[in-house]
Amino acid sequence: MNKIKNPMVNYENKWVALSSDKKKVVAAGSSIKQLEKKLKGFKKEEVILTFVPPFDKVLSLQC
Amino acid sequence: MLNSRVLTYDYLRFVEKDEKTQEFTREIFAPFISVRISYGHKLSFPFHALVDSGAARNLLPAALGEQVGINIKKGKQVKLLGIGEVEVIAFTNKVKIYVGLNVFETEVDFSFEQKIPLLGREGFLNLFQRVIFDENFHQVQLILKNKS
Repeated sequence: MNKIKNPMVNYENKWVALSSDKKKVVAAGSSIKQLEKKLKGFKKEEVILTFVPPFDKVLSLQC
Repeated sequence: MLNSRVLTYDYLRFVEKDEKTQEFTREIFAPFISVRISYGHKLSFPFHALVDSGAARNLLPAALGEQVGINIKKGKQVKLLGIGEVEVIAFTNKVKIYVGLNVFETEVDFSFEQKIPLLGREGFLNLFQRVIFDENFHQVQLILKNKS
């Protein structure tokens, strides 16, 4: 079932900048700092930084 | 948003993959919301953070603090214990957090070992009157406290 439409599907374990409507990835990097460099020229309000977790692991977090 | 005291966020959609076949199996939903932090006059990019009722405190990747000019290691060092008794070193700093149009002063633990931003009970959930996780509609609702 590879037909799932999700903008983050190709960005496992990476930091991405989603468009403000969350429908597309406008930039990606392996770290926040690398991603920031790719966002020069964007207004901060235009994107949402998002870490894409591994897809084969269950998100079960607590500290 | 019908009631200005209620902030409603749709869960963020991710995908799940079978470890053996690497096939995508389904979409999963998690209560990530978009927030920003500021320190001094520097405001961060908006970022998605997981509203995590299992987390005692806020825990963010150090790079998000550095983005707003925080010298992370100048904060008070704390040791946090997570699932599997994994210990994480973090540094507590005071920031402002922006949730919708609302701004709160709070404390955040920043760690160089943490990737997923977490919003925990002390310093985030306790800023609100109530927090509702709606697992059927995949929404989280943050209900603001009455101003006295």
